[in-house]
Amino acid sequence: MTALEVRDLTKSFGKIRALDDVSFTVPTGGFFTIVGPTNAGKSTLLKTIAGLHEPDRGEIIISGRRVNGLEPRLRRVSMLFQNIALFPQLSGFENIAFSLRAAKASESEISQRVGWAARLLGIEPILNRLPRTFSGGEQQRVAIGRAIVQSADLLLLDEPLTNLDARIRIGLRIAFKQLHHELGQAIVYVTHDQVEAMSLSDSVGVLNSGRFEQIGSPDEVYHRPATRFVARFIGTPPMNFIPAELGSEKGEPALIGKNFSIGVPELRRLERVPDRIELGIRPESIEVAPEPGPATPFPVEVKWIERLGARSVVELALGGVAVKAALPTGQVELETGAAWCGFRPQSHHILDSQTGRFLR
Amino acid sequence: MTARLELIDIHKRFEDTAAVNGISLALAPGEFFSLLGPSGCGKSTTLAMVAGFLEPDGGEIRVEGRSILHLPPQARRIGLVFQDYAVFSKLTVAENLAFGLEVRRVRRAERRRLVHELAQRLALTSILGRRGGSLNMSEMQRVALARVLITNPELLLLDEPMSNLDAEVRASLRGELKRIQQDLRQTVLYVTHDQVEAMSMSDRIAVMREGAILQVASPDEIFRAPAHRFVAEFIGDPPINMLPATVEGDGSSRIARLPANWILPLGPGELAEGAYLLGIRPHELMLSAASGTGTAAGIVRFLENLGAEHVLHVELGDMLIRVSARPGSARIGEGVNLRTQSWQGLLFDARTGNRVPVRALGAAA
Repeated sequence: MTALEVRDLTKSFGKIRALDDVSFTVPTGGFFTIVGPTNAGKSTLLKTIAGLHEPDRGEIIISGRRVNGLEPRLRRVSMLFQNIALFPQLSGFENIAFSLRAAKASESEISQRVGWAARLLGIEPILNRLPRTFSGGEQQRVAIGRAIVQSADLLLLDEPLTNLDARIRIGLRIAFKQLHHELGQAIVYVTHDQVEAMSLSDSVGVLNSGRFEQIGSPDEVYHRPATRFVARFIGTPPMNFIPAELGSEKGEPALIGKNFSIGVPELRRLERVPDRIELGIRPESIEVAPEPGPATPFPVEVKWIERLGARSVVELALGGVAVKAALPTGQVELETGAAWCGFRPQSHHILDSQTGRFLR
Repeated sequence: MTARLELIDIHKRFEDTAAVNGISLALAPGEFFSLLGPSGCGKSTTLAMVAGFLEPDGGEIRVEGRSILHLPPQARRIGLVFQDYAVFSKLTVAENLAFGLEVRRVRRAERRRLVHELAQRLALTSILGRRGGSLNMSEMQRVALARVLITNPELLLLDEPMSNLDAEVRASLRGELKRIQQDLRQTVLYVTHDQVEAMSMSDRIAVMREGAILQVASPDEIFRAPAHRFVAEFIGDPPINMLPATVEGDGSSRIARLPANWILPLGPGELAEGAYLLGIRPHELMLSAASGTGTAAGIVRFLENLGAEHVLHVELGDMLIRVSARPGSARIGEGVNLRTQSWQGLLFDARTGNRVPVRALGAAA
């Protein structure tokens, strides 16, 4: 059984097509994340599922039931909006309990469910206080609590961590995993943060200008991105793209660029050689050393080093092309100036520049 | 050398809360200095007092050795850049740049000269005629900086300028801002809750909590030798693990008893027996094929797939411990053995949270 099925959804606002033929399914108990940049259509998609927008075309099926045209409250979904509004006159406890009281739940069930949510979200100490005494993070967590205590078929979360401090955001990421684990409820989660998308989900849909560029597991979108957009959006810093030509070296096909070449035997049986290709390489697949060596045969210039604690991001110029490498801090002592780099074996991607699709 | 900016024992209360509770710091000329902390820690209040929007209840603020407390904001020769850069969208880039000069009644020929000079340094020459509303974020940041820098401020204050932007944009703006700052040797006081911004751009960072500074140090030192458990827990993603530890020993050798019967040999060291908190960063832990001395057995409960690495949440007693691991090294539900690798030996006083300096405790690795 599927918790949610979205078929060919299209929605325009005036001349702007916010959603363009969007389809996806979420299995029972699945965790699906819609990730994309600002204005990709993420919130529109979520609100259309919740029933706050009517689609121009397409179907929404929740737990086997077509819900198009149905009022939001009859769709058996629970939604957490990006701009939260707590009831100022109600305590943290009563804010969380609100929908349970509306559904005439028993006192014991209310206290049990609110207690569970509060423990999970780490807000037990503030349950008896009023919202005006809450910090931003506490408000958000109470709002999350209010959304998760309802027994809906589907939980829709719109950027629940976006307005929080970085530290709280990182801590709450795991709370959502725990929550999902304990609830077993299907979740559709919207974020612009690819780290949240990768770390939380069973399945990730990368949305761009109202269309999915790719839907796949975190491993798929990271290791086998379908398009240049996905390759650049997932992973930080993004995948590097370096212009290259297909030539040969020692009788084997090779990708040859300015100051580098790598063997690509996998292209031996290529039917059609694209006019323009680029090497795609993740920053963490690049090695940098002060001296040349078997793993670092290509001359580069280190332009800039960004030290981020456990790892450093090194900005390189490879044959005049700006390339970023991510290295564990302390592994090699680098300074700006001349250095050497190499690509980890089998870590490269090959992009057909014309089609924007990967050959590998 | 005279400090460019000096704060001496600054206090500020709002009704019954002490927003800033006696902070002191000094910025060297040309330094990039960040105030880092969670919301409500007093960092923006501090910035507002330097800018002159708020008056401290007590303490002294000096620029180049002279008190500026009696000066209104516009007389302070301090440049301010706000959230999202707030470039005038209807004005051209040239008009945006000239704006501050017009307010200061700088003559027209001089305005034009200054606009062109700065436009050249910040690579804005080719877009001087474009309207603010048509700029991308990189151009916007440079215009926002140029608009302020053109008045030749002694000090530049930036208050969370990047907090609403997408991650990739933020990453490229960080490098650019740092380069401009270095190129101009501009003294910067930067306020943020984002550790990545503070770590990547700052010469020094002050980590703040509840109106007080817990540590002032270089990014490297903040990461490697945090003065307090709060600093250790605030810096690093995935966050550091903080384990309750009982240190015991005989003679000069010490061991730490951790949850789930994990015993970590600490080696010889001058360390009082008793209760501590032991900080281990996720990349200082690894999965071990062997069980036994120095290892801990746990079960993988959650897995965060970050592509290049997996963060395993391993249940150890009643705790979840984060471990950075290579993709594919363990599955959810699997039993694993943990051991330390190149652990930096962070121990904190269980009561005060202060770091207890320990010499050469790397023996466990």
